[in-house]
Amino acid sequence: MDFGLGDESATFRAEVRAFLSEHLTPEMRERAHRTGTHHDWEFHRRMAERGWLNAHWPKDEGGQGRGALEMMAFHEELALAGAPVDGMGITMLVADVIRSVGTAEQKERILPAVLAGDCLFCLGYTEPDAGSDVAAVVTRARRDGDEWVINGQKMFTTLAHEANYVFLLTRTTNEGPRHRGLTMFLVPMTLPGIDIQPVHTMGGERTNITFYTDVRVPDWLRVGPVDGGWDVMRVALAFERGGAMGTEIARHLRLAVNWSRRSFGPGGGCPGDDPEVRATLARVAIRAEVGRLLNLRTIWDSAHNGVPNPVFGSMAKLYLTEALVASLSELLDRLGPAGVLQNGDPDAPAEGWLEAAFRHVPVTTIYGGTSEIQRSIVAERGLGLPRTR
Amino acid sequence: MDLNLSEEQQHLRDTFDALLAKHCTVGHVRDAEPTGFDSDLWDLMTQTGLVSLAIPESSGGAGGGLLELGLVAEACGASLAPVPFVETPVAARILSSLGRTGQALLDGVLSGEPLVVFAPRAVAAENVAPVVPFAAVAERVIALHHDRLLMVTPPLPLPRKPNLGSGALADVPIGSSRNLVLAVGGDARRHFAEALGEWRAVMAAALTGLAARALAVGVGYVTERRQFGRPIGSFQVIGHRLAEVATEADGARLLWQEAACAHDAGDPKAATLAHMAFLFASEVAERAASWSLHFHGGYGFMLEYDIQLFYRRAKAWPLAVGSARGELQHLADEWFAPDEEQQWISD
Repeated sequence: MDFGLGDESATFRAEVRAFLSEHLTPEMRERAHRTGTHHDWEFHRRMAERGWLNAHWPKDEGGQGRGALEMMAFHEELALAGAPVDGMGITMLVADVIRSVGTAEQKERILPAVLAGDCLFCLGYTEPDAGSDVAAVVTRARRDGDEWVINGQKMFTTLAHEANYVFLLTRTTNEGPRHRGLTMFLVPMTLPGIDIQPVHTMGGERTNITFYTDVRVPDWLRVGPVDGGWDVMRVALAFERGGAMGTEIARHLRLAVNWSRRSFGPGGGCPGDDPEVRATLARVAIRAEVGRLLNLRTIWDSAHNGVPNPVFGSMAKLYLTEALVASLSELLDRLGPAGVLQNGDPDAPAEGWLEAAFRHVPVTTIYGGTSEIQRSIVAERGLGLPRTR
Repeated sequence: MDLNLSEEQQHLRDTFDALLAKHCTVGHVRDAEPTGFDSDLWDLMTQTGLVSLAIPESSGGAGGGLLELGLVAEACGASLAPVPFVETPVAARILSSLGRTGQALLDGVLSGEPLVVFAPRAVAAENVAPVVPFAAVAERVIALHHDRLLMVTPPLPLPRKPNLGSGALADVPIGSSRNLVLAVGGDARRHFAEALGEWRAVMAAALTGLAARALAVGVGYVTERRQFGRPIGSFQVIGHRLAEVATEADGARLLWQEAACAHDAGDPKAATLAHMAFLFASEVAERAASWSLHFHGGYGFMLEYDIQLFYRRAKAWPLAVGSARGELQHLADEWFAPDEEQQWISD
């Protein structure tokens, strides 16, 4: 057994770190925090120039042929630095799908702009009445000659206001099983009939509701077969698992540890001398390590066996996000009354980043498959318990 | 990176799994409850090489490390084996690290005589090491007494103290025993700290095994038990709780394995990882046993059902070293030494 990520990862990690200290400016982080849009075109294009958007693709397809562990180091560094990479994450997820199941025309006409850092995707799965039960979508795509006419509404279309395309899950038939009547499209956001309404969230992130009224999409932008959208979704889900979440706890722990060492009070001493504070930090450090390992296992196993193990992915997502929520609650307790102060106030401990994180973390147990969905996957597919719904 | 066991490690695991499946059934565990010790099982395990497993070949051992020891300990934990599968191998490793002083003693220990155990708690009280696991059956106890690491030969037999985990616990009267000084001062403390780190890593493995088996017992029960016309395992509250336990048990396994590998590779993070692994596995074992017991309903409370065996030991085993609260403070000491840049993710 060997738990190290290897020399190549260490080399790449150092490269990424150096890049971040040069190109990720405090203004970029501040702007992402203030606007709630965790995408920065300038930063994104710098990453593209380095060839890192698709660093994990084979060299003969324009990538750098980097392995899963190198990519893990890459994502860890981005997350630890607090880089605004939501746009990159979603875009490369969809780009991976296009590379894997898209047509030659799609690859030719769309991917070059994506890899140049000039094209962004957003996801259009969730609807007002289709959240965890995603096969319940009713946004309708009707064929009309060489075009499709789309009508419906999508919730939480994060980054729609910046994106060039929405990766849209639609219903193409009501015949047969629900999940066999779905079709996926890449819908240009510039088409007539698309309306974007901003939605502001407790965590400060801006998301959107998007409305689609008689939007006419050419057939060449359909991804996968007609009524075969469920399988395309599954491809996308496999890419979604095991992202940068493994370091979220560590990032906040680092902030808290730095705060705990700051001296305070006339008598000297620092919060880190308080046994309660120390116990909390130690507890959070354990969770950070366990979460990192569960995530690492998912990624290693998937690379080693060639197919992702859905139970491993669910365990990692479940543990990391639930531990994140618990940890932020405990860390904020330790900050005491000043813990409520927000970024911008000079008295805010840890510059208010833990307060901001406390508001952000609940969503992590919801998006990308709720904790309840993950627990059901572990219970049914991992433990062999009867179906729970 | 490689998370698979080697063929030899897999073989080792299979060997002890088979041995335990035959000679350490729940029936054996119940039979041993009055004494906390199964001498037949112990003889078999020493003959199969448990004590010499993680001793260097130059000292007459098999040359394995903490990872190998942990693999066996996980199997023993799952079976609730009433033998010092952590305490004796760790004691043997102390002897092997003492050079010539230890070798003569070690030769006997490896052949099974005398039975030596490591006391994981430094003795602060005057002249008694209180509630030492397996002291009621051991012939020698290695303990840190003030600044001396002692090999204590207590007057036999020490009276066993009735206890939660049905262990062979006894107070060791250091004052009225024959004591051999193994090391003194900084040397003594260093040997003790090293052994305690090893104890934590291997005990973490044992507790992981206990958690995983307690979970399996729970899963088995909720799959068979029917209420309201369906198996109770089909209720989300039950399935979801068990899914959390399963997730944590996997996490506990990864963590003890990481700690053991770090130790075997001489990584400076090893002691901290062992601490983390021990604390996490302790919590997970208790939670696994507790939820599994709860989902048995009233039956879980009956002595006749096995889950109570797990519930009691999950709490009792980690307490050998003291409170979780104290352990967390120790971990904090190690983990954020004032000037150290914390770079856990710095591979």
